[in-house]
Amino acid sequence: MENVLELTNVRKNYGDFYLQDVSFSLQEGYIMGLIGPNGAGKTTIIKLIMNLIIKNGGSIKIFDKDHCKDEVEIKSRIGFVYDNPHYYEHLNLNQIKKIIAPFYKNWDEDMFQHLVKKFDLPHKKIIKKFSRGMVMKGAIAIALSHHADFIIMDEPTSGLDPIFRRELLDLLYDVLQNEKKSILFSTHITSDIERIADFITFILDGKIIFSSAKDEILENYALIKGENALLNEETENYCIGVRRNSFGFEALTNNVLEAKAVFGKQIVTDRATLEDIMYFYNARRYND
Amino acid sequence: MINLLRKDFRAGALYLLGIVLLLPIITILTIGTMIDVFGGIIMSYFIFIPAGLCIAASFLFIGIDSAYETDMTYASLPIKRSMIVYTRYISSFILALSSWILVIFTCYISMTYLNKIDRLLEMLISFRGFFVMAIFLLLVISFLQPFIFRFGTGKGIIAVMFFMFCLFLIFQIGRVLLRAINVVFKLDLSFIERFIQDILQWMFQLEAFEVYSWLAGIVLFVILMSVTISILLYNRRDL
Repeated sequence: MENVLELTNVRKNYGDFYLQDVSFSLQEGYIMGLIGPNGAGKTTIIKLIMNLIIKNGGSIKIFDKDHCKDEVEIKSRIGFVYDNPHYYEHLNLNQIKKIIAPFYKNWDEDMFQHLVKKFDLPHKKIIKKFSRGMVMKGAIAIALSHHADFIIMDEPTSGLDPIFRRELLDLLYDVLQNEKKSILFSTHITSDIERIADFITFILDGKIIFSSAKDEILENYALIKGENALLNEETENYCIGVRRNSFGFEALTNNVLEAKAVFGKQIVTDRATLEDIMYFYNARRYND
Repeated sequence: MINLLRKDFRAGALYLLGIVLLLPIITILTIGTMIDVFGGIIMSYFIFIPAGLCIAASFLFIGIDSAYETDMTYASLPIKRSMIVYTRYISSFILALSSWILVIFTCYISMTYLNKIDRLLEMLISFRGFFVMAIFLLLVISFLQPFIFRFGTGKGIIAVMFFMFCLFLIFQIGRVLLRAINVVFKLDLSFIERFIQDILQWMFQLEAFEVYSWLAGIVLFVILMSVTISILLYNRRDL
């Protein structure tokens, strides 16, 4: 299967922030979740992919084409939702649609009308009077109405109520029924990612921590719990992050078997969620 | 490009209506006040009021995009950045020239129906007057655009002012330095003056058509340079 997206050693200096040698790829027909705390570099990566900011090094290929040289062709096949969509606020959704639709050869008016109805969006209300959720829904309706092969969404579920978040995830899942479509989805709401993503890329401080299949990650990572007495300098090295309290400790490991060998039978292991993984990696950053 | 132009005019329709209403009112008020108070049009002042408004009008669409922060939204559409630059120049020129035509039309109305007769107004509504002003507007816009593409609207205007101030400073320092050097080394700098006089003499000898052609050629060259610089700057800009 072909790669829809391929980043190789991408670098970007952005004031005090450095994106360092970012490399990952996404195959056709899959959903990738890009996770990381605020300020980790998720939006920077998405902006780089969309050529909204200029990279300092490395290469970005989309549909096996250079994202700068073949920008127009590539962007006509991408549906993009920005975390804070900006439209002319004095216009209504219908007027916005009339502005954007002519740029896409494959614009599907029926699909757009269907989504507007499904999302319960008003046609004649000006954007200024839209709530953040409504603006986001409008942006999603636009992004999904030109039969894009690759959908890129930067924090699309932030600011949305849980019901619509669930509906959106179902909708994205429906989109993927066509096996040739792919989705890159950034968020810090990890439960959304856990629900639909096939692959997870975790970024922290501008560095990729891992980029693997979700099942593999959830299989490899685990929480271990035990008494504080079990922790010393040596055993702590086997943990990615540790949280202590008066009852004992809780730590994250990416090798359950090794942890069991080190700590013995005195520990309890539990399934780690993506949120746990993000939390412990983030905590380690401060401890280091 | 047509789609981008259409986008600008669709988004700016209401604001354009404002310009169509405001520009003639301000022009008529300026003409009336100058003729009634000063006894005639003071060209140096009059030119800069409507011309300033025309230049401001030319940046209407850029201003709207900046106010609603839509730059990123449209840069994510399947369009090359260079196309955005070309469209911006074309829409700015269209706005500036049509605003100036509106000013000329208002001058004509003032003379014909409001009886505000003035020799300078007559000159303005002549082809020569229109041509010179059109050249002036295109040159100013071409000078300003690269700053806007590099820094955005707000910072761009500050950058232009800073650049103008630096130019003024360099010119003044250069003049002082030249004088000082001349005092010390007793250089004969009259060749500069002669050179400028020769150019002026050559210009006055030209036929009207030749003058228009030269000016049009120079403006075209400046526009091309400005567009090239803007594309280079915008292609490297982080949105």
